Formats: sequence, C-alpha cells, structure tokens
Amino acid sequence: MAHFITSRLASVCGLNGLQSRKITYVKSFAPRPFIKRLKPKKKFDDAPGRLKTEVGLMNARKQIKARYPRERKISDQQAINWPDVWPGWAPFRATTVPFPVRMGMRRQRLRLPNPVKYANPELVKLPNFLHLTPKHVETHCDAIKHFCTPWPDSFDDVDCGHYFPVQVTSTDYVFAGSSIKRPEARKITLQINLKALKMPDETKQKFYTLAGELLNRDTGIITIQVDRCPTRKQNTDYALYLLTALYSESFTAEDWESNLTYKDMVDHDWKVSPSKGSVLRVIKAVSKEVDSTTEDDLLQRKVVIDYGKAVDNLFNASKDTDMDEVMDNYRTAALELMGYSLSRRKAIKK
Amino acid sequence: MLITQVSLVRRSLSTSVPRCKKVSGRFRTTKNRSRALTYEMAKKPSDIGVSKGWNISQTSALEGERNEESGTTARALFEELFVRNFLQGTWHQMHVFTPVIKRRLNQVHICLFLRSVHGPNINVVYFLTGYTEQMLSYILKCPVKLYVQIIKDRPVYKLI
Repeated sequence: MAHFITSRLASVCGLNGLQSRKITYVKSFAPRPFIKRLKPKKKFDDAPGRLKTEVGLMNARKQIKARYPRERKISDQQAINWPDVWPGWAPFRATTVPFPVRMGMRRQRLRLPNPVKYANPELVKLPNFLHLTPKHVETHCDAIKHFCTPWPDSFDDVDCGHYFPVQVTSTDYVFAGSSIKRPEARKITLQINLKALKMPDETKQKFYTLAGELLNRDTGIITIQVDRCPTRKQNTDYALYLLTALYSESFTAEDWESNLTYKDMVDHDWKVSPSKGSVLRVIKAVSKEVDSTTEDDLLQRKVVIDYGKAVDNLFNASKDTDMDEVMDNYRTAALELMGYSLSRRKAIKK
Repeated sequence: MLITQVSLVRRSLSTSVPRCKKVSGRFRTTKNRSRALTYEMAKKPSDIGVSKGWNISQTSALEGERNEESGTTARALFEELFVRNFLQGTWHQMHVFTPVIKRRLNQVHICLFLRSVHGPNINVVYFLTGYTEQMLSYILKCPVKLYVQIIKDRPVYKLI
C-alpha cells in the first residue's frame, strides 16, 4: 500500500525542476527489518515461561499477518443481510465494510494520495451508524412486534384526562462517565386540571386563595414542583400529600370566613359588591312600583341576574377573553336593566 | 544650574522583540524531502475541526454538565492522559496512530491501530488486549473495550 502510493507520488510530483538536487525517497515508515539470531541460545530460550523465538527471517515476518479482508470474501447475498455482518456498534473497520469510502481533504488532487479507507484514523474518529441501517431497525422492530398490542382507538386525550387526571413528570439523565449519580433526577412536577377536582363554588374561591401561584387560572392546571426529599418516590408522595391538603383545607370553613368583605374576594362576586346596592337603588328610582316588592324579589328578576353576571364577566375577564363581546354583553344588560331594550329603541327611532 | 536630564537606574530583563511564530504540531522540512508525514501529522492544529477529527469523543464538557461538585471534565481529561500513557507503554512500538478514545455512557471504547511487528506472535496481541481491558476497567471503574486493527504500515500523505 505504501509502496504504491510513493511510486505514484514520485511519478506525479513533477520532479523536472529538481534534477540538480540529489533526492532520496523514503519508501515507507517501516524501520529497518529486525534480523533475528539464526541460532537461538538454548539456555535462555528453553527456560520455562518464555516464548520460543522463531528461526529465520521469513518466519518472523509471517507472525502477525494481516487477515484476508472480509470485504473481498463477502458475497452479495451476505452483504445484503447487513445486520449479520455488523450486528452492534463497532468502530469503522475498513476490511469489513464492502464499499469504498474516502475520508480526508486534499487540495492538490494531483500531488496528494487518495485518502482511502484503509488505515484511515479519520474514519474511526467519526461516529458511524452502520449498526442502525433501515434493515437493522426493521429486524429489531419485527422481533419486538409480536409482544406489542395496538393502541386502543377509543382512548384519546379526553379519556386520558378523565381516567388519569394526575400527571407526574420526572427527568432521567444520561451521562458518559464513571458516575451515574444525578441529584437533579429526584425533582418531580405534579400536574392536575381543576376540572378533575369536584368542588362547589364557595370552596373553589378558597382553593384559589390557598393555591395562589400554583394554579394557572387561564388553563386551570395546578402545578406542584417538589425536590425537597432525597428520593423521587418521596417527592411524589409529598406532592400528592400537598394536593390532598389543599383540597381538604378548602372544604373546611372557618368561623371568620363569614366576615369576608368585597376586597377579600379572589373572583369578583356581584352579590357582595357595592354595585348590587347601587343597582337596587336605581331600580327603585326608575321603576314605578313602590316598596311593594322586596329586595329578594328584585334580585330574582332575570334582568338583575343578567346584569350581575355581566359585571362579574367584566371583572373576571382574563387575557384571552374577547373584550368586545364582554363589553357588548355588559352594554345590553345595563340598558335592559334601565328599561331600554335595544330592539325597542330601534323601533322608537324608526 | 538646572539638571535637565535625570537618569533613572533600573533593574530589568534585557529582552528582544519576540518572534511570533507558531511552531506547535508542525514538522520541519528537510532539504531532500526525506521526512514522510501521515495525514494526521501533516494537518496543523488549526485544522482540527476543519479537516482533522478529535481523538477523543466525550460529553463531559457540554453545557449543563455538573462540574462544581465532582469535577467531571477534569477527571475525564486526566483519565484520557493516563489511558494514552498506559497504551503507549503496553503496546510499545506496535501502535501506529494515536489511539481514538470514545466514551459512551458508562463504557470506554479504545480504537487502536497496530503495525505488524516482527517478533511477537498473535497470542501476544490477544494477551495484551485482555490485559489492557482488565487493567483499565479496574482503574477507570468503567467497562473498557479495545478494538484492534492491524495494518501493514502508515500511509504516506506528504513528503517534507
């Protein structure tokens, strides 16, 4: 191999301009051949545990002979069954890969040799995926397939959310080194949708107050992140305990909770708001019925209830709500409360 | 009379203008082009990543890898140097190129090119492979696998 390259180099190098210099070419990197003693020293070589040196130069040369490269022996049929030839990860072996590959940069194509795959460490340095060809993947999948059952079609995201409301997320880490310990692996995130927790409206308000930032009001997902315990299992148990505590605490009503004012409310509640008082005054002023109707009757009127809902929507609107719709709703509710309905107004105008 | 010139007596090193020349990883040319270089030797250190690959592949220097407690990058480097020294001593005069070390997960894969050497027979290669794998796996506390390829000789890329 080395001889071939140097002879080609010599012919192609263009030595015409260098004729005046005496040039000696190095044929290869091989050192001068090590000539062994022809008659081994008996006492030294016959001692137990020693390798017996071979006699003669020719025999010495044959001792590590390069194997006949498999790629020349391999038949097409064998090569087609590539998973048998290259079963698992292995560094690039020029003598096993049956196709020619070149690896190396040579700007001067005429002067420099072809960077073939033989004795090319650059190819070994790179990662190769000869153990993951489509044929390999197919064979692996076929081997595992009969253990698998198809995913049930009826089991979609909605069902998943219904049957498995609690989602626990944990991360596993991979590291190339002698230690597999990862302290970050004990951290877990527990997520549950508010819809999965059945609570009446009053307890919901308390839940919102207790949960605070754990609850995302727009999506309704409660997120609890725990990493205070040394193991992952302990952290999941603690997270579940926190959730249970939150839920049960929101049901217990303390005595002082009945003294909650308008400012303590998380969501705007029209029934506790100053707007309710002013609405009742306005109705009494506008309507011609005098004192015969009580406050409770007034509050049960559809017009008043609708107005209350519209005001609540206005205050409780999140970023995603369409404000035009909410404002429109409030406008109609307010006008109807005052005794004007839009359709009637249009009729009057006409 | 004014003293216009004040000479300060100083003790300092006598220096010359520094010669800014890169000499690392480069081979000196000979008069008669008798120095043969392999591809790896011919490419300069500035060509690493461009036309030359890395001899070691590991992930200890990636962003986010914890280094404060265990010093994993430093340990990986130290182990690499030790492994190379070990290989140089064990496979004395037999190896051809710099051994390529690949770390994947827990394992260490070492890819070695050997030259067919006059003298020892193939049993020596088998023994040394086993010996290297055992010794290194005890020392590095990782499974070590050695991949040996025997070639006739280093291909000549350039004559200098």
